Amino acid sequence: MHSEMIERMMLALDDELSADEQQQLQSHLLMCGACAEEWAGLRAAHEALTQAITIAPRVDFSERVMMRVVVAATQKKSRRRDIFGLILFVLGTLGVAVMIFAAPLSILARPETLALVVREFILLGHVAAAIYAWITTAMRVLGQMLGSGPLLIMAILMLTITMGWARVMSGQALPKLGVS
Amino acid sequence: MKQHLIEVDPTVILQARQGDARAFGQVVQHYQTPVYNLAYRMLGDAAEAEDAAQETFLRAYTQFQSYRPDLKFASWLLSIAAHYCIDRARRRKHVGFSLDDDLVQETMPSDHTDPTEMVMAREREADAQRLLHTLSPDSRAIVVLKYWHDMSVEEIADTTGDSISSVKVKLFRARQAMAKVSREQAERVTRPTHVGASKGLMTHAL
Repeated sequence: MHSEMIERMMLALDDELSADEQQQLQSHLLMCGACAEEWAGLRAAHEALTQAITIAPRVDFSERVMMRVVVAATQKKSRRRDIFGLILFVLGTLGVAVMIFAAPLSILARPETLALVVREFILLGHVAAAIYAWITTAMRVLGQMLGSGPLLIMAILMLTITMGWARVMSGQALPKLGVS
Repeated sequence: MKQHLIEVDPTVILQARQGDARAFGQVVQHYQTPVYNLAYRMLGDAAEAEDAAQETFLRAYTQFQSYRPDLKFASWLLSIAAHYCIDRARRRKHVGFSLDDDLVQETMPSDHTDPTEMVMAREREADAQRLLHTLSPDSRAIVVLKYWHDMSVEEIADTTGDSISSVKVKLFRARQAMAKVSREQAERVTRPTHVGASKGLMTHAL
C-alpha cells in the first residue's frame, strides 16, 4: 500500500494523477502518518527546486567563449596544415627514393635492358684492352728505340692508369681476352 | 523555475555546423543560460560552472559534425554539458557547493529588488543547491534537466543516454533522497522550538 501510494505521490508532483486518484491519495494521507510525512518531504523538496531560479552567466560570457573558439579554430587549422605538410614531405621523400632506387632497378629488372648494359660494358672492356695493347706495343717499340729514360717512366705511368681504368670498366671481360 | 527550451532557428544551426563563426556566436547567445545553469547546478561553483559551460561550447564547436539535424539541438548540447559535468563532479574531491550571491542577484528578475525578497531568494537557492548536492552526479543531472529545463523523461533519456526506465528509477530515488533531507532539515528547524516548548512545559509544571 505504501509503495503504491509513494508512486502516486511522484505522479502527483508531476500533475499526472486523475481527480479520483488524487482523492484516494488525499484520503490515504489523512489516515497514514508515515505517508503524510513522506509527502511533506517530497512536497518541500519539489517546491525548493521549482522555486529556484535559472542562473545566467555573466554578461560577457559569449565573448569569452568565442575567443576560445577562435583560438581552437586557429589551432585546428594549424594542426591540419602541419599534418598536410608532413604527408607532403613523406610522399615527396618516397617519390625521390623511388626515382633514385626503384627506377634504375626496374630498368635492370628487364632482361633485354640488362643484356644491353652488360654488352656495353664488355664493349668498353674490349676497347680498353685494345688501347692497352696498342700503348704497350708502342711503348715497347719506343723503349727499344730510345732506351730507358723519362719517356719510359711516362709510358709506364700511362700504362698503369689505362690498365686500372680498363679493369674498372671491363670487369671480368679482360681475362677472357688473355690480358692481365 | 521551469524554463522550457526554445530551439534556435535551424538555419543558424546548419550554418554553425558548416563552420560559420557568426552563426555559432548566435548559438552561444541563445543557449548560454541553460548550459551555464546546468553546469552551475551540477558543480555548485560559479567559476567551475563558467569553465564547464565554455568547455561545452568548445566541444560543440569542434564536434559539430557529430550532431544529427534530426535530433533536438538543445538535447545534444545539454548532453555534452551533462556528461562533462558528471565526469568533472566525479573526479573532484571537494563535494560541497558555494552560493554566488552576486550571480543570484544579477539573475534575479528586476521586480525582485526588495532586500527581504533577495534574502528569501538566496535561502531558496541555498536550499535547492543543498538538496542537489546530496545526489550522485548522474542523478543530479536528471533532476536539473527535469526541474530547470522542463524535460520529459524521454527527453532526459535522450540527453543523458540512459534508458527511460533507468531515468524513472533514478528520478524516483533522487526525489525520495531529497525528501528525506527536507524532512531532516524541517526537523532541525523545529527541534529547538520543541526543546523550548518542553522546557517551558516543564517550568510550567514545576
